[in-house]
Amino acid sequence: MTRKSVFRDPAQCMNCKTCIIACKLKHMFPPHNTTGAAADPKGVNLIQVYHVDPEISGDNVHQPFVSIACMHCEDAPCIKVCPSSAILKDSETHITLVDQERCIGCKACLWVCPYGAPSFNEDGKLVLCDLCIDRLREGKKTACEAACPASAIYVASPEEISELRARKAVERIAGGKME
Amino acid sequence: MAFISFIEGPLLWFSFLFFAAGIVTRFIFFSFVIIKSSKPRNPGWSNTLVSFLRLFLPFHMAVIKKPVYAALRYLFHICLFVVPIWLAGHIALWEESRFDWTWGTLSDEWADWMTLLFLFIAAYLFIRRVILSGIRTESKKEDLLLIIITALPFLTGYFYAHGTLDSIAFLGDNIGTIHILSGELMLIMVAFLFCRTRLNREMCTGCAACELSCPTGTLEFRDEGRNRIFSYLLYQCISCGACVNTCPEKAAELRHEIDILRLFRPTSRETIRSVELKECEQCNGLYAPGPLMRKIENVGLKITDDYIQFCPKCRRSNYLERIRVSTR
Amino acid sequence: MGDKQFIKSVCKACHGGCGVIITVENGVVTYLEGDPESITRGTMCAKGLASIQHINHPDRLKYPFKRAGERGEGKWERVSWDEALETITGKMKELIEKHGPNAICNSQGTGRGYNRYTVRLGNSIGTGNRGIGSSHICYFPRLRAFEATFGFNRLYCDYHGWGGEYPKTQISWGKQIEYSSSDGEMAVWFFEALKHAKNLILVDPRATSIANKANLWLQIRPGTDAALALGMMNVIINENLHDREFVANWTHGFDKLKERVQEYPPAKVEEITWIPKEKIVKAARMFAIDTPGVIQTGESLDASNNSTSNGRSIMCLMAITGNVERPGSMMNWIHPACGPMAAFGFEIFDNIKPENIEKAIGSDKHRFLDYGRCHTETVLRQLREGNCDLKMLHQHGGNFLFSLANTQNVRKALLNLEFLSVADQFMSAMCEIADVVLPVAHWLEEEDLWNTHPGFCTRAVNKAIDPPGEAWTTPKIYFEIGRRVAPKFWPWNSVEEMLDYQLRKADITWKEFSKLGHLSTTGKDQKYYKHKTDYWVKGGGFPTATGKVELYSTALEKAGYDPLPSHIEPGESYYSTPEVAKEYPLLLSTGGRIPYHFHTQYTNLPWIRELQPYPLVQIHPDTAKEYGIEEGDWVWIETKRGRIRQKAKMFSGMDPRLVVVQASFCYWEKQGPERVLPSNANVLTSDDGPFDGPAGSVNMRALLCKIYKMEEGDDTQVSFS
Repeated sequence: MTRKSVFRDPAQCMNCKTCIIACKLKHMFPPHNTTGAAADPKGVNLIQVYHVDPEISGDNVHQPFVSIACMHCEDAPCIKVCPSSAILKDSETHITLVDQERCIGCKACLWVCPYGAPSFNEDGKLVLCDLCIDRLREGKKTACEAACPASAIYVASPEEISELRARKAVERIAGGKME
Repeated sequence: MAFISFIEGPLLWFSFLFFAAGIVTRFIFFSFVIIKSSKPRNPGWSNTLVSFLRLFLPFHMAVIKKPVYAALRYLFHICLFVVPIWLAGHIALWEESRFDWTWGTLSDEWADWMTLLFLFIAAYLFIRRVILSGIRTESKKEDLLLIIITALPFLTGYFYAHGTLDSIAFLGDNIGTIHILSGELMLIMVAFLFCRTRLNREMCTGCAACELSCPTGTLEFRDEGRNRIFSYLLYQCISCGACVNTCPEKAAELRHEIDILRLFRPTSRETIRSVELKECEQCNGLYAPGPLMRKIENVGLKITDDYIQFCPKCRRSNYLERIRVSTR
Repeated sequence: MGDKQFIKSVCKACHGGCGVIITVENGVVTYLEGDPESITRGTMCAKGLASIQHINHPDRLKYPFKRAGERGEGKWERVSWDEALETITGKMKELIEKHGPNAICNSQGTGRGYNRYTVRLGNSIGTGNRGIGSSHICYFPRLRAFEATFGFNRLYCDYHGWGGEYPKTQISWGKQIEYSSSDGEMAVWFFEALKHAKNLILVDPRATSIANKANLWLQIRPGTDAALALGMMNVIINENLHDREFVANWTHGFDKLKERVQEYPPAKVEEITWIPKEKIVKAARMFAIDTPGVIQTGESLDASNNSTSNGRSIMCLMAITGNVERPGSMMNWIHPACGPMAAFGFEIFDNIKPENIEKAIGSDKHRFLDYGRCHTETVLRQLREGNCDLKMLHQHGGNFLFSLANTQNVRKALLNLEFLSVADQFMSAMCEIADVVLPVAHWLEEEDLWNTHPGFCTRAVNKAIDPPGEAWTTPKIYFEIGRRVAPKFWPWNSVEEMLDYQLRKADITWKEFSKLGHLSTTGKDQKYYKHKTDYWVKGGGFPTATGKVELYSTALEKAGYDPLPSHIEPGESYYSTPEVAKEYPLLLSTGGRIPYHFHTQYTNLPWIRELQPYPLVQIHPDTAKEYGIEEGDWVWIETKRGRIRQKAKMFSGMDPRLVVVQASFCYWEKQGPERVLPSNANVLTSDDGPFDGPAGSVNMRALLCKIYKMEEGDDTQVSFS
């Protein structure tokens, strides 16, 4: 398997939160069912989708939906600061993985992450998006990419991703062309 | 000799009883706190039982961290228990007493070597504490006193048994009395001897991984004002060493401590460390512990320059803003 | 691994029907994912994926219950299925004996592929009052308008390019297709087609999430859709941009429409709709010139006291631009060999005696209600007044306390029913006031046929696991009730035979079909320009009275309604009720939807609740500032009917005068009125008219309200009045 990179396109995202539930289903994250509904259940979310308040100019509305999860940085600062070497790169795919046994929950990764992406489970241990590495190995798409109705998530090689981003930027600047 | 009969009689009784009462009280308080503890990681009876077991079998998780030091410590404690209990001279006294008790004895040769080993380790611990600056600044006078009081009965006992100091007039005559007195002092001290985690001020970054690892909720932290304050509940500690094992900075240490006042305060928390929190330069909110942030900054990450001074929330909103502008 | 099975099925979490692959290990569903080979290409949504929490939810109903105390007291006695069904059917028979079949009404919630069973049951009983519910404010006014205009009941957007062309101009009209495929059109098709489109026009009071993709956003005032469509037609006709060939050959009444649209010049439409007239002109030209085009319409057009005109004016817009039956435009799809599934319900429509249809409550005023239905608000008013001919309601799914206007009145009316039986998966607020409650299986637990709305595909819902406790599948419940009360129309020996019967035209059994997975007419199987063939009418044409697209509807004319679309001001607005506007100065829409909720459904699933623990009301930041409200504050929203509280969410993509409340929010963790009333938007809506003439729709999307910040501790107890 080649190196993998992820691009979550803010221009395509529709804020439907399918990716969040697909991710929860894949990993069976809490909150779990309880008898008698809990008013404010708290669980683990690897993906957060944020809405940027619309900017209206003329006929155009600009309101990207930004989904933040581990970006799998090539030169990941979290790996460098982790005191217990619990974060590592998969040698084959360069996906950032977490060794939960080693994680001590010091949150150094959170304090160094440029995106504030790290999330922690109920034991205080780091949980990161692993790009569904097991599914990728089986030749499937990641859970979120497969489910996304707006095709806003792309998992591919870094070269393909940068090409895609460049193409989208050109289209945007050229204007008029629908994405 | 009224004095010698006093220390051999009522004072010995008192010491033994005080020791026993202290142990029982401690045990009752410990049980009370452990059962009522509101913050164990896995609540339930099994967890409480495990806590008891771990208290009595202190095979610390921290062993891996400093294996040589840990081995010395175990040897030290084995000698500390074995020599006084199985010493032929002590058993002879028990046989003579009204209880008429007896049990197997340790050969004199073994007793001698163990005593010497014990004293050697005690001396090592003492000197280490005085010489190593990192430990010295963290030590109080009581810590040195603790080693002296523990070592004294062994030292005097060795001299007593071998008559080494007979040539010195006063000591030659009274070495037996001094030995008994020092032994009694040690017994009484046991009631006030606690195990406590210490967080080294220079090394601790305030990351609170120790709090997370603590199985009984003995260590806690709260962010109060501009500081993160770590507090400790002595009686809840089962001396498992999880905090020592977890600490990435080797700043946590589990150490004995004499504390007379704490004996009768089973549920009161003690502040053991206070770390200042870093302020976000954008929203002025406090987010991460300062020393940890300084450490992260010193790792030398070039790319962190433009955001490290902001809290994760502000980093996120800055990122959203960047996306908004770049995709416009 | 052991026993690991992969079962293909169809998701029924909304009306859509995404293909699903279910992983079952040792009798437990362990994973769900979209089926990449299905018509939805493996995509799904949060609602469907959360089904795994739905099936395992501990609060699910597992056994039939019979009321032990007073109605709504909450005392239940567990009974056998036999006893429960005998109670229900016994009551039905008794009432038919005493008052005739019109005393019985059987209804359902949102259509999740079982509409045909509800229809067949009602028809087999022979009741003219075949259903109350929310159909008249959702979907059916559009269907009836399609029928009045084209003679058949629906045109769908051709997103598929089977005719070699994709739509060049797309209009999304009051619809958030990206949130829910609630009229059977899929978000994934929409997005695929959008890649080929030149223009996207969004007609919505809010800048919804597809606004950034739109070239033109028409920020419409809620409830004025017909005026906008008429205004656009005014531009198109006066600038001679309409499809002259299609208009000349295939439409009826163009001249009269031309006359009518003269009443709606862009300047006047600007006043009505608050959309700048330049934008109206631009949109009209865009849609008329860049053809083919499609218009995706949403439910908000129906929840209006001008619903028929809203729908009809948009249909006229489709027709005069020639966007009918042309590749890349609006299409009526050909069904696969098994025929339309709905036929199973309608084939015995004749069993209802004409006089019973005539006596359907409210149908004297509203002649274009859903086929064989009665007018909900009239029924509920009569029930409250105690002079209603309708005595019994059997309800399958749905919750009228959330979906119908004026919750307090709805509950009072339902309590006045002689008998109420409800089949549901959870003890909903409507179950709580029922006499008998039946437990229903989830779609992962049932075997059924699924007819996608657009009709070009019929698919098999395959069973993955057994239902919990004694819960029965939907077809089984209908079958068992049906054969007890009208055995003539439910002659089969088992549910499987009933499914075989529905597939008979395709000459295939359920067992074979279940393995096959689907019958589809896609690609080359679909024929375009069917009006030029003998498909509907021999020699060509549309199946209307005139054989043409009726811009001027003879059916409406015959029934005594305005045959042409027109604008009618919402029942409550700055212009129709200025005196109300003095006290309630803000415009309220109850159209706020959450992509992972379907009304109140799924709000009790922890994954879903975590995403949004409290209901949100969208307020413009400027308005919020004026009222001293900040993001996240609890806010009271009050109308003449009552008040609810929701949390403030700032949103600048709408008119500052507009407030959009989240439509339904159920506090599952609470009991009684506290569960239903505190944040339920229908506490605010009016059930007191004015109603749409033909369809009887009630205005829910354009009301007047006032807002104020909730003071600490002001969350006063609510109670049913």
